[in-house]
Amino acid sequence: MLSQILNLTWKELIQLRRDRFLVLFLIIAPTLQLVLLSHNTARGVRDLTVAVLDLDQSDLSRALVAAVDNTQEMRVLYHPRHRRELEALLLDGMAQVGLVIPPAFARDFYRLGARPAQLQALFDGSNLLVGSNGGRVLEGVVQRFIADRLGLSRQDLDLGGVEVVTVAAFNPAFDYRWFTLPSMLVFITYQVALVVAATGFVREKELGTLEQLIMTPLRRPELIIGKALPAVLVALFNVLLLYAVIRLGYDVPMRGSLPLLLGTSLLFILAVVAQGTLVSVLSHTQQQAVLIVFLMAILEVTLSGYLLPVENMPLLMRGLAQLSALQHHMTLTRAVILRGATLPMVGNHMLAMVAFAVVGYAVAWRTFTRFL
Amino acid sequence: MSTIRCRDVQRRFGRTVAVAGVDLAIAAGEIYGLIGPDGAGKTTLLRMLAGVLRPDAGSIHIAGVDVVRHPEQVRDLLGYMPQRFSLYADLSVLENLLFYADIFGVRGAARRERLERLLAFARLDAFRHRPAGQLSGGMKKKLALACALVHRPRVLLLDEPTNGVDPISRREFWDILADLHLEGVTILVTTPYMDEAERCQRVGLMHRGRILRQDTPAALRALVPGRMVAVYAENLPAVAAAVTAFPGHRGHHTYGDRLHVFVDADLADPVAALAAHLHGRGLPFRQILEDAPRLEEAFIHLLEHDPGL
Repeated sequence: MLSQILNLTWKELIQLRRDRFLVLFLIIAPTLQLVLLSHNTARGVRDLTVAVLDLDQSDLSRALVAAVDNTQEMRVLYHPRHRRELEALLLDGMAQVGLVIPPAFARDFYRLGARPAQLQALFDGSNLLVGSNGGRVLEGVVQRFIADRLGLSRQDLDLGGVEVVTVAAFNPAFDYRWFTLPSMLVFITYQVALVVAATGFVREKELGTLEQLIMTPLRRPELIIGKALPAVLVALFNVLLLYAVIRLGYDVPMRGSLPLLLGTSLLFILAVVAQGTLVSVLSHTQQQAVLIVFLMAILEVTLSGYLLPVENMPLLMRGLAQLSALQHHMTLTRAVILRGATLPMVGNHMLAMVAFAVVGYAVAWRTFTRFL
Repeated sequence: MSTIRCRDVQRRFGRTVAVAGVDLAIAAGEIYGLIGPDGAGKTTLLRMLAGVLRPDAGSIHIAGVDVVRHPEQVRDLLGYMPQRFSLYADLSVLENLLFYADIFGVRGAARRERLERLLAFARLDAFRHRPAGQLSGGMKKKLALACALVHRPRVLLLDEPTNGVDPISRREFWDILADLHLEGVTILVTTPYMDEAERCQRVGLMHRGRILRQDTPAALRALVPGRMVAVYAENLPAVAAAVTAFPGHRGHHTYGDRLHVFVDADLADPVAALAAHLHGRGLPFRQILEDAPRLEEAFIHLLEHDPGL
């Protein structure tokens, strides 16, 4: 039994290695994806280009502009002289944020005028991230600036003397990559396991070799496991590779147990490979298989909690998310890596993945019978 | 006792009847050719015999094993080469053989010895490290056969094994089959080539899901009624038009540079009579002689007189 499985697996691995494109797909692409996606599915923003229309031209206004420019998030690149010029910059997309300092800004600021000092900020609303993050950043800059200028501590700013201080637990610097990198690790593993498993049988079907395999003494479990094993091995390899990248390349902390993470990753891969095997058994061509996988991936990502936290989903979606292996393992992985969650804390997620694997293989098993 | 025996085997795909009730009895060590037009049901029949397709009705026994009930029990004694026998194109000749050897549990010294023998047998020795995808059509077929032979099957099912292969490779392939035949392997082969059918001990003509007739090639040739006269001439269309008026004419077809004319068997000297007939019409010919009908003509005759048509 075991030797028969290994015979088939060995053949698969030789074939995988021969396929240059696949090697690229399985090693280089995941790493690239991890790096690109985790940088660019940013929760924060950096280097927003700012155009400042300074109509006041006072020491104070210049200091404010310098303070804005001094942040990581904003770069003051343009100094238009008219409002029309400012709007043109925003329209062209040259600037993402426009800041207007009105003529009497300094006078109003020191309470010399009749009205409170005002600033106007314009955001490129066509990009949601710029609007929501830019506003928050600018508000912070201005608050700090006012405090500095008036020689106040930040506490004094709030009338009640109370300031809400936000501390991001488990991620004190609130580095968004601590969230995105472990999530991406799971997503890429998912993708690799699913694609390799989904093309396994259907490739032999297209080639016409499946009929020959059925004619050999290989029995059904040996065929199914022998075909699934290469996908599992390749996906496990990906987990190790990507784990090394996020630990060594990005200093993401590992607060939990690595064996636990690897063990649960194996469970997750088994569940995903079961789905892939089912797709492979059901499809008639590789094209069909890949299209199905594509649809599944979109659905799973939507439900995974990566784009929108599961808790914030509508009730129906929240229910469906419980059926997503990707969701369970992403949640679990972040918990283990960032919060140091232990086995009892992630047991439910593990049970769910065991259930998915069992159901997936059972259905694939039943479906596969149709060949005979 | 027959090595391959099936009774009233039937299979339909939706509303299409592929195999409409076939009886076969092939003796141990026999080489049996199955022949018939495209869509006759040959491939479907072979797949059922191989145990990869379940028949709707009927029974199949190979070497006494009920293939319908226990397809896995015949795996070891059966070698099956599907029409589209596909090799793993990215594996080398040797790796393809090794894979099948491993799967069939051929190990150790026996494996080494057998693979060497097969490589020599299939004349693939020099190409052992070449990826299967880069072999010529004929070499692919020979490798496929070698893969099907790795476990020394006692029964071989070959579905159009030489389709699309050049004549020399075809001949080589059949020489290999002849060797296997001498070793006592029972062979069932489908083929579209009449010269290949002639090399079988018995031939069955399959049409519309049934076997119309099965017999030795000689006996099948004898089924063509009457006698056959071959006329070698320049102006074949004119000769063809003229022979229709010949008394006792039953049919004719052109065959390269000659016309095969079928005439009533009771004519005393058909050659002389036909020669006189053509002379009388002023039609010159190079040569005229009586010849035996070909297998092909026997099949055309049988197909034209298929009561099912």
